[in-house]
Amino acid sequence: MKTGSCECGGVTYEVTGEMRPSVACHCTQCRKTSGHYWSATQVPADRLKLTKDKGLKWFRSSEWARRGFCDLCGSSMFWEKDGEGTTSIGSGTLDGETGLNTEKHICMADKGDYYKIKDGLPQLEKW
Amino acid sequence: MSVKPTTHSASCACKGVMFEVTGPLNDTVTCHCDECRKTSGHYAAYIIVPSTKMEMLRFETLAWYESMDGVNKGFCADCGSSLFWNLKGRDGWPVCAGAFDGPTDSKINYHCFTSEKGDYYDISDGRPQAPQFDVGFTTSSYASKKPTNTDKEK
Repeated sequence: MKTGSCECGGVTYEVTGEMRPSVACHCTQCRKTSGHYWSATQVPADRLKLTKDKGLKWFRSSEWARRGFCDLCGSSMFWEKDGEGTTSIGSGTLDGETGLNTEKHICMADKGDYYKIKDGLPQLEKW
Repeated sequence: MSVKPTTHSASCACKGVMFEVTGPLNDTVTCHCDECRKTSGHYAAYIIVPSTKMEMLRFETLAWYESMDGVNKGFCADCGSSLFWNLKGRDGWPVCAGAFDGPTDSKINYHCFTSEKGDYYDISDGRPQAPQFDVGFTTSSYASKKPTNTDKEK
């Protein structure tokens, strides 16, 4: 089991079982919400247990998806696509060692101009 | 003939907060400290902007979180976008590089707090890495951003 939280502790969670490798997304929304670019693991929604949701707020970010953040401290935590039954979890919100690796970079067409990706992983224009 | 200064527009994802920065942008510094990793969901990237160069155009949904004493993060209460920090007694605002709408013409200067970096990614752009805050950075006054362990226990 892994645990995670926002910066202020207003949202805490537990994840059981295997987590997907982290996927770095450079789309405009991920860049704006995170403040840089966002990298997330993903689990079936029923393996994510919210242990505290005092600060959790959902933002309808598109017709097909929503983003979960802490409205007490502004931490970018979750992303859910409608009907998928999965939750993407910002890998930076996990406590301690994650044991994860990064699989790929997506939405590179929207990448910011101030950084370079040279880690040798696949870079997809879309996803 | 006067030349119109460069203006960089910035906003949150829902446009509830919009602001402009006048003049060329500074280099970008990334931060891999635990707090920046939690709040961004990955790690953070900042461009220091003098307060005199920032103009708020819209801020109906702007909210503040006091991360540490005198260290406040501005974010959008509607969409959760991380926007900028205000540090008590400091003139420059670390603005989240991802908030800018178009090209920044900035580049990463160095990575700080890499001693707290996440285990699931590599820093491979060849830029310098500082385990803590790089006190050699020109705005060394920002060294106070990170509290000591004693401060954290208060």
